[in-house]
Amino acid sequence: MDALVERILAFMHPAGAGDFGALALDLFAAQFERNMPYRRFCLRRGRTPETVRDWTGIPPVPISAFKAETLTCFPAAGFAACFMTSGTTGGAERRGKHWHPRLDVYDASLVPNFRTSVLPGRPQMRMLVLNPSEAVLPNSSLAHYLTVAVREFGAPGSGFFIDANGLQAERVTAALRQAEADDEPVCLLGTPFAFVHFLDWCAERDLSFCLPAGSRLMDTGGFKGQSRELLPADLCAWYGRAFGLSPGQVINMYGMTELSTQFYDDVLTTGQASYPRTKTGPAWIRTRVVDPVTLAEVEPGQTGILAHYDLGNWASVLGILTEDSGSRTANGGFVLLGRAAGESARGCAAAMDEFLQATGGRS
Amino acid sequence: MTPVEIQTLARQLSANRDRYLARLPIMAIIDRLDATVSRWLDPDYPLRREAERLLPAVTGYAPDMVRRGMRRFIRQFRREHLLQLLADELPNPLVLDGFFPRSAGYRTAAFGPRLTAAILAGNVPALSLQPLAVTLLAKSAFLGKLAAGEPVWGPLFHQTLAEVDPDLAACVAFAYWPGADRAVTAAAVREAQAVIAYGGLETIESVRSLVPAGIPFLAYGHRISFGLIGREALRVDRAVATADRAARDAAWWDQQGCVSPQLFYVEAGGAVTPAAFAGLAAAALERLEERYPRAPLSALEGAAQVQFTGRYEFAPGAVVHGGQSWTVVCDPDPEFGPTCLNRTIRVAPVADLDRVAALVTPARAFLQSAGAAVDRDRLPALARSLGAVGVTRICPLGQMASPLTPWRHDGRPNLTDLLRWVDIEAPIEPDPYDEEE
Repeated sequence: MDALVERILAFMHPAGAGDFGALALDLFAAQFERNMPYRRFCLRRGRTPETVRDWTGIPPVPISAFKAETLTCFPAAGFAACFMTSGTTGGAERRGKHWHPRLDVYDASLVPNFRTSVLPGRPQMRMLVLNPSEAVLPNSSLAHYLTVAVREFGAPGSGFFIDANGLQAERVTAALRQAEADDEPVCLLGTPFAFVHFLDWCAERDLSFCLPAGSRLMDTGGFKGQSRELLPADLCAWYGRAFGLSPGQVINMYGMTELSTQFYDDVLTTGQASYPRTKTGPAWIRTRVVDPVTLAEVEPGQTGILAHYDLGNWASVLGILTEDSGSRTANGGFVLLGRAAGESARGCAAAMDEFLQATGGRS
Repeated sequence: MTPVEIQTLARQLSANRDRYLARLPIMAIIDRLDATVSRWLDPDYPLRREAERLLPAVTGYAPDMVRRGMRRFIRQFRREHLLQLLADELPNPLVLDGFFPRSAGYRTAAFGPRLTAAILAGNVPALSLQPLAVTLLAKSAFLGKLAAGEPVWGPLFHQTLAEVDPDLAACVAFAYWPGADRAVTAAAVREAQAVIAYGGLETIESVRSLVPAGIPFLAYGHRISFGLIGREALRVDRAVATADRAARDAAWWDQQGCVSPQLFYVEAGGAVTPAAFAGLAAAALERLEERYPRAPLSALEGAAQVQFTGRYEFAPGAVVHGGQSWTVVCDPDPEFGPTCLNRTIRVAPVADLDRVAALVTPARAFLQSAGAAVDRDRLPALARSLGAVGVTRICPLGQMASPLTPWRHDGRPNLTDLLRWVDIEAPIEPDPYDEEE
C-alpha cells in the first residue's frame, strides 16, 4: 500500500503525471484486499480485481454506508482524523464517519486544487473565514479544509470569524473595512448559511461593502435543513450587492465528507460566470453520471446520479455513489442539480425527510 | 388557470349548487352517486376502459393493479356504503334536507358548505372519489385541484356524473394548476367554505396559511403504516400465506399510499423465525412482480433506494434481500422509521408484539394503519395499546390497501367535519304550576 500511496502522491504533485485508470484499478485491488465490508459488497456483485478491467467497473459504495460501517483498509491502525457528516439530533452514532489514518494525502489533494481553482496566479491572499477552525470542530472535513487553506495561502490579517460563541460579525466588519482602507483584496470563505447570517446582520445595520479589486468569495455546502432555501444564482447576486463583487468573483466548492478531493465552479479558469455552472475536479478524481440502480452511464446531457472516484480516498473506498443528481458537461465536468432528498415524494406515505424533521431522528 | 378564472368557476359552481344541489333531497344524491358508481363497475363501460388505458401510462402502475385497485375502491361507494356512512355520523340523515326534532323543545338541521375546495393527491388513482362523495353528501359544490401525477381519473368520473345528472355535474369541477401557483390556490380557497387537502407537510401548511379562521380545514398529511405478525401466523402451515399477505399490502400502489406498510414487526418464537420470514416475504414480492410490475423509478427515487439499501448492506447484523423491483431488509434494530418506499420493507424481530406500541410511539403524529396477523383473542389488547399511541386503523394483514368504507381517514369523521348545525328553539311553554307566571 505504501508504494501505491507514493504513486498517488506523485500523481497529485503539480509536476506529476500518471494514468488515472491504472492507479484506480491498483487501488481497487488494494482496497478489496484490506477493506472487509467493501470486499463483501463487491463479492455480492461479482466484482473482484480479476473481473474488473476498467475503472468504471469498480463498484461505488452508497454514501449511506459510511453511517453503518467503518469503511477503512486499516481497521487496527491509529487515526489522524475522523471526519463526520453533519447530523441533527440523532446522536453521533448515526452520522457518517470517514476515517483518515493520515492527512498528508488529503492535504496534497487540497492544496494544488485550491490554488488552481480559487487563487490562480496569486501566492496568497488575506482570507476571512466565516466558519470555525479545525481546533473548534475537529471532526469536520470543512474545518480542516479551511484551516489548511489559511495555513497555505493566508496572508497576514487572515482569520476565522466563527468560534464556539458563534459569528463575530463586528470583527468581520472591521476586517472588511480594513481591507477597503488598505486596498488589499480579500478572500471570503464559508457556508451560505454563515454568509446569509452575516448579511442579515449587515442589512439590519444598513452596512454594505465595496471590496478591493481581486477580492473573491468561496462558499460551500447547501441549505439542507435550514430555514431558507436560495438558488445559487440568487445567492451570488446577493453576495455581489453586499460585498461589491461581480458574479465572476463568486465560486462554489462542492465537497463531501466521504471524499478527499473537492470540485469547484470553473468560473476563475474559464471566465464562465453564468448559471448553471460547471463543476470540475483535478485529474485524480473522476465522476460518472449514472442510473443509480444499474450504474450504467446516462446519455450525455441527461440527468443521473453522481458517482465519484477519488484516488485521495486511498484508505477507505475510492468509489462512492452520492445522492446528488447532475448532468455531464462537454469538458468532463458536471452540472450539479440537487440532492435526491429534496425531491417531492410521489406518495402520501411519509417522506423520509419529513419524518426525520418531525421526530428529530436519524438521517 | 388564473386567479380570475378560478374565481369565476368557483362562483359558477356555488350558484349552480344553490339552484340545484342545495334543494336535492339527500336520498336523491345517494341515488345519483350510486348510479354513477354502478356504471364504473361495468367492465365494458367506455370511460372506465379509458381510465384503465390512461392511468398505467400516466402513473406507471401495473395495468392489472390499476384495474383491480380502482374497482375495489370504487365499489365501496355504492348505495349501501353511502347509507352506512350517513347512518354512522347522523342519527337522522334527513337533517340534511330540513329541520327535524332533536330533543324536547328543539328542531335541528345540518347545512354543508356552499363550495368545498379540495387539493387532491396523485398517488392512488380514484382516491378523489372519497372527498367528492362526502362533499356532495354535504350538499356542497366541489372544486378539485388535480395532482400533476394523476390528472386523469377525476375528469373521467365527472363525465359519468354528467351522463347521470347534468345539473349535479354542474356543481362539480376538476381543474389543474401548478401547486407553486399560490395565487390561484388562494383564489380557490377564498371562494370556498371548506377546504380539504391531501399531501406532504409543506403542501398542507402552505394551504392552511390561506384558509381564513372559521372555515373547516380537513388535512390528510403523510402517514406511515406498518404490520404486526404474531407467532401464531408463523406456523409452518401458515407462514407462506402470511408472507404473501404482507407482500401484497406493501406492493400495492408501489407503497405510495398512506395505508402502505413499510415495516413489519415479526414475533420471535414462532415456527418460522423473523429472518426466515424476511426470506418468504422476499419470495412473495418476487412473485408479485410478474403480475404487477413496479412502476419505473425516477433517478432520484432510484438513488434513494440505493442509499437506503446500501446502508443496511453495510449495517452489522442486517440482511438485505434485493430483487429487481423490491427490497426486504431484515434488521435486528427495531427502531421505527420509514423506508424509501417503492416496495421496500423492513422486517424487525420483537420478542412479543405487546412491545410494538412503545416502539412506534415516537412517530405518533405519523401513524395510521396497522395490519395484524394475530389470533382473534389477542386483537383487543393489541388494538387498545396501538390506538393509545396514535394508530387510527387496525385491519387484518392482507387488507391494508383497501380500507372499508365508511373509513374514518386518519381518525376523523367523514361528513360531520363539513357540517354546520342550525337549531330552532321552541317557545318556552308557560308552567301552569309556577305561581309567578
